[in-house]
Amino acid sequence: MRIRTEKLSMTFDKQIVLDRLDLDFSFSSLAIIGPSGGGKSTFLRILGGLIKPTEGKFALDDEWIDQTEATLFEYRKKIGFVFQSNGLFPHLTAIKNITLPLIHTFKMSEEQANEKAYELLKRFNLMHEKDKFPVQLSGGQQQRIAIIRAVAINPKLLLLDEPTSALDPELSAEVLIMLKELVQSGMQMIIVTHHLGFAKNATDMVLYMDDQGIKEIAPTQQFFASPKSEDVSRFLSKLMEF
Amino acid sequence: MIKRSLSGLAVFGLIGVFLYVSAQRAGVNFDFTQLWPYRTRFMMGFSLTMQIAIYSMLLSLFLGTIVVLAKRSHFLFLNQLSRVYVEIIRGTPLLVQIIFFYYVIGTAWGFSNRLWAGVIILSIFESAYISEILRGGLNSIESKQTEISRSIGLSRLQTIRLVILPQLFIRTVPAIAGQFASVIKDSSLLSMIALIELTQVTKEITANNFNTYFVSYITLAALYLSLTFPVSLFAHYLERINRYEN
Repeated sequence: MRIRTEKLSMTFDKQIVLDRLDLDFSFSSLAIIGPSGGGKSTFLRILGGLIKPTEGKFALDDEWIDQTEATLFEYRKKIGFVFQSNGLFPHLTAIKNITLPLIHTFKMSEEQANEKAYELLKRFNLMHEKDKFPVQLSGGQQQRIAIIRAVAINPKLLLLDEPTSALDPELSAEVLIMLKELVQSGMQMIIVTHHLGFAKNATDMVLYMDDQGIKEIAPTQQFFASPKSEDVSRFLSKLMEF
Repeated sequence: MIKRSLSGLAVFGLIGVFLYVSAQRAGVNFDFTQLWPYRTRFMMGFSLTMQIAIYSMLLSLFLGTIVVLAKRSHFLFLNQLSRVYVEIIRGTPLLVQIIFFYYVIGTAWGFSNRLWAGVIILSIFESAYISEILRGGLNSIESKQTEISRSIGLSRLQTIRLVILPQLFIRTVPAIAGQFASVIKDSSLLSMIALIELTQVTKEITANNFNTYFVSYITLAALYLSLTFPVSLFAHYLERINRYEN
């Protein structure tokens, strides 16, 4: 997938979060890393069509996305989005969470939707959990159900906003294993993450951004072996230390 | 099960004995048979109270919804209007509102149907409380739920229908049911405008025959309880079948 941006900017109450980004890069799975507060989530939300940039636009492959509500409404149907935590509807069981977009956004029949959901639940070993409400699931299970809901619609692109940051290491691992399998089966994704190990082993491109903007985009191997920016070296060595 | 029944029996027994002994000591006449001749009047009052309550529940829920929508509106005039409405209605006695709306506003605009005047006044009063319950419920639903809905491609209307309303319903049922019980009890104040509902019937009966004073009011209480208790049971039932949070 190729992403291009043109003067992409985002300002919240005079605070500039993204400053006229002009990017052009290709990837099949991209990790976005960098310190907190660097605008990673904002960038991802814009790419997901959830918020409008204050200025500029972006393109997925050859399609420039008009930043109007009508276009974004259609655009969002092609994108899967997974939130940091509590991304499920608390009043619906796991299976209903998964089938809701299939039935109401994509107008599938309930049978078709269930079939699709069962296929994924079986594949990721969550069949036993299908009739539980989110509060009855572990944090890791909740995230995996949220990922299933996002991939069930066969999205062009899957976006994940720190999907493991609220989980302990063991539960993080079960989510990351699932994501790695999705990458291997060809799902194109962008993940904002603090897991450098995952970035290293499962993605083919890495993007580093901090509050001064995007410092580096490079193929994964090159990014970790010989980072060009000093900020990136410092960030990496800081994380490697502990 | 047996333990629960025995314990329940003890609760009612204790309350019953206390009331009975108190009544004996105060020398209250406990002969309920003397109410028998008035049974038709009680029935008619009961039926009118039930009508008022049902109409007022529906109308107050409708008005409460409008008030909460106005309060969340970005249109400043509507926002302020609803805030003033809630403050004034909640801050003044229902008794005063009944007199004011019926004798001043009602007379000024030639509205004299007592039943509907009563229902409207009561609904105006209760809707202020209901709007606050709904507002609290809406605030407790995280704005994130809306963002999730957007992310899976739901329209605004679908979000309201499939995500917001079901959660709002579950979260507000207990409080709304409590308010509905108040609707039933508060309707007794409509006797102020000579609406012949249950309380007015009781007032009339006891005015002519003072001997029946206590038994009449005890009967009145029992009849109100027979209306409020099912509401409360029904709310518990809804709460139970819709529970999704531990």
